[in-house]
Amino acid sequence: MESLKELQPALWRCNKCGACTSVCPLYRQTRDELMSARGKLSVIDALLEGHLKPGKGYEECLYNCLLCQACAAGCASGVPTTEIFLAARRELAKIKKQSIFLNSVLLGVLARPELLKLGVSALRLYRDTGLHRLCKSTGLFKLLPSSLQRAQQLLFHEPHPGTGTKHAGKTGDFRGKVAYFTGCAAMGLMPQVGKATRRLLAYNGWEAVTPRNLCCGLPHRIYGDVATACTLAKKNIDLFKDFDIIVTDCATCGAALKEYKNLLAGDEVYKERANTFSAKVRDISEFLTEQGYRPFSPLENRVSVTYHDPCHLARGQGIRKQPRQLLNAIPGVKLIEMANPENCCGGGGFFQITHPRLSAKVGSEKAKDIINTGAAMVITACPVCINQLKLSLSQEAGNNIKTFHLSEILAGLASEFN
Amino acid sequence: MTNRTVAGALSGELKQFIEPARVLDSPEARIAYSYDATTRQSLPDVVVKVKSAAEVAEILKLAGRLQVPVVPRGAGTGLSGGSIPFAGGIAMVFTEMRSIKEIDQENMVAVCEPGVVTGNLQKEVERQGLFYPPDPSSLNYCTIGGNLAENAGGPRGMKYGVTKDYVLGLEVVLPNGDIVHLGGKQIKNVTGYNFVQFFIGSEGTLGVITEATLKLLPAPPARKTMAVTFKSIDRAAETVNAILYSGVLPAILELMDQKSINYVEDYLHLGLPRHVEAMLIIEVDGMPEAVEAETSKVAMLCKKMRAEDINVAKDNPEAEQLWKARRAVSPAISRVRPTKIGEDICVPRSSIPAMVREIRRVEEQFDLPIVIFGHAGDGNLHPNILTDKRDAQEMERVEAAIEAIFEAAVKLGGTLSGEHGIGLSKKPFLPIDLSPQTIDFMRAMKKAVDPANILNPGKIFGSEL
Repeated sequence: MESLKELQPALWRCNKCGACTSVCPLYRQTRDELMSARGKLSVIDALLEGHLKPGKGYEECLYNCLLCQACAAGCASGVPTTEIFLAARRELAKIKKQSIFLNSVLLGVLARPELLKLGVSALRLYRDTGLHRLCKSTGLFKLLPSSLQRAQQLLFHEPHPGTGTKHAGKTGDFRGKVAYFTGCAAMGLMPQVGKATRRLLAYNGWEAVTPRNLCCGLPHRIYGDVATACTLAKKNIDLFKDFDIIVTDCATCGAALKEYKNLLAGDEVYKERANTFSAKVRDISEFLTEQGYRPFSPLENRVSVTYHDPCHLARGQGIRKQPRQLLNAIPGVKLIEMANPENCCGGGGFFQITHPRLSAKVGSEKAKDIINTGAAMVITACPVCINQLKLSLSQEAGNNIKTFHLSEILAGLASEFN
Repeated sequence: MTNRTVAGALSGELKQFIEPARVLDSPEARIAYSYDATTRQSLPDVVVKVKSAAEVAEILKLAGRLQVPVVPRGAGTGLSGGSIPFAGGIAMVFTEMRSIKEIDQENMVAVCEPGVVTGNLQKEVERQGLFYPPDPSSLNYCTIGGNLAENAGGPRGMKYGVTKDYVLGLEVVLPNGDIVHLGGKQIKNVTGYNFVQFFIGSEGTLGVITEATLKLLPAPPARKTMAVTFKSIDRAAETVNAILYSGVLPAILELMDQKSINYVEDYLHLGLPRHVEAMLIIEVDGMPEAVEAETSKVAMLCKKMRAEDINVAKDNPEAEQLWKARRAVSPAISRVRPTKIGEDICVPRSSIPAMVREIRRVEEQFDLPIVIFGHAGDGNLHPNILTDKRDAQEMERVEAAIEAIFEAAVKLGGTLSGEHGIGLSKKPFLPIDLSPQTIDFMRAMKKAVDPANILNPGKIFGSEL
């Protein structure tokens, strides 16, 4: 991986035209140059040139970013902004410790499967015993800092309904075996998404095997902990070495897994294996459209849906047509495009929790675009987006729009809600 | 830069009457408001995001008392350094003054604050069937205030004019803090001096615009686009004249030279012909019947002028496809070498072929690749020198080449800048274009309204008044 210094010539290609300000979701909300890519690049350049010390302001500047990649996609000079921002975070992490909350609670737990399982069980217990409703009704939440209030809203504001099995219950003629990469969301708080994807695979004749994979490592990577990201990547590569295809239903995991080849490009032992691994990874929509899919059963009632492009799917993996092709293939589904479907929803992984106010502002813009379509449902392909969209929609008045994962509607869930 | 003690005192004083959240003086914020699209940088001592004319007036009075410079800034997308806080002081940022106060359909005017993004204003007025024509290529992120201060143009300049042609009224805060109102909604108004135009293109050196009343037009219901290629650039220029002489006034007449065509082809592989010397992108707009008739007339003329290839877009997606080539010029050439320096000369239309030849001569003489594209209809050409700003030796050649281009343009009856402004980038070359008496007259005006030289010092002329 290139150091920040090595990336500096690429940074210099920025001619500060300002185009990035118009596509940056955070700039649009704040009109603050420090949020925009050209502002961040100038600050990073000043640091590299020795005009700036890496203090709190610098750290804030780097982390006031959703890493949605809209700036990179809109840059006429082709400045690799995301790469530069990640390198800056990585090098800052070397000299400055992350907060205890982030480091041990979030990243630490994610890196260790036994802790992750424990944590998820605890959260589910909290949700399912009604303890969280008790806390809510007694006003206990108001004592929490805003980021934790946001976190609990995200996780518990509305339980995700169970997956319907109506249409994709039947298993298709056997076509082969694939590995299913279980994202942490599907592992824990949204198991129904994983179930829907596996049913969908079965319906199309694919037997899904689920090795007990580890976290994809993206959270560690974006908070600058590349060592842990590499360790996780290597373990996952070893775990999946016997499979030809690795299917995921999490846009973020998919993008991270396809990136292993770059993450480990400097590792003599794992370089080749990482290349092979990344080449096998498919998003569920990519996989189905590549391999061909069985016709979906018609819905009982017509339903209008709109589709939100997750950053890590559209810009991260170039997957835009496939989910739409699948949605259009369900008899009874009418796809209405929202304005700017590729605008980030404001989720951004832990950004939802670390930057609750900014995240809510971006989410509100997205929710309005969704509401304006008049659709009854919004479909997306990333668990982080699902959480964020649900919360954002619940905070806008006058709508009853449901949020589902693409796998869920394809697996027949939608008919229960229209 | 102002010394740090003064700077500290300045922030403190500003926070007395402006919310502290809008007064920024962290090292990071100062860096983020130190540049525009010229990539030059100079740190302000403090950044203030203003919300009203009253605040602007208070700040100017304070700045006058403390003798610190004030530099108004819209979105920082300028191409001549106009908004760079060259001498430190206060970067006065207008992005929070972004309300479109009124769209008066009946009188066809819009009243807006300076921080409104140009493209947003266009969308809003289009919703009411109206049209705000000035279209700088940064319209999706530049602001009206910056457009007014730099008198921004765009491809539609020939038929529709530039920013100055759409300003009916202004609210301006003078350097002494007085708020004045010039013009209004009237199309005709000869009451007193025409000082609206005095402030347009003044690059923030004479006063601070806090509100503008802008003229709107009925939106043309139809438009049609075509791309035409020519073996020789002279032929392309003759065709432009033939089109205009025939009675058709296209909305847009864009020119790309052979180098731009080839760089775009390297970048996007659109199948553009590499051997042609020029491509014109022509757009006519108006009532549908007129657009049809004018399109056929233009196509016929191009044929008569022995154009290589005439491609008329059947619908919007096809038109977009044709525009793709022109829009890709900047991205394509910024990938060729690390730095591109875009100039902005404007010559009488008839001198375009001569100007192109002059630029080719400069290119050879100084051994630097120069790409030419621009607005063929109004003679506004953008020769872009492809270079590397970190190569000091080469940059000396670049400076010399720029000077040679300016001299050639002026000799052909042209001017240094059509739509970017003088700012910092072109001020050393001002005497090539303007006589000493003209410059003295301009300086005298500046001195009369800003005797203490508080507003944007060091722009257009030297630092001394």
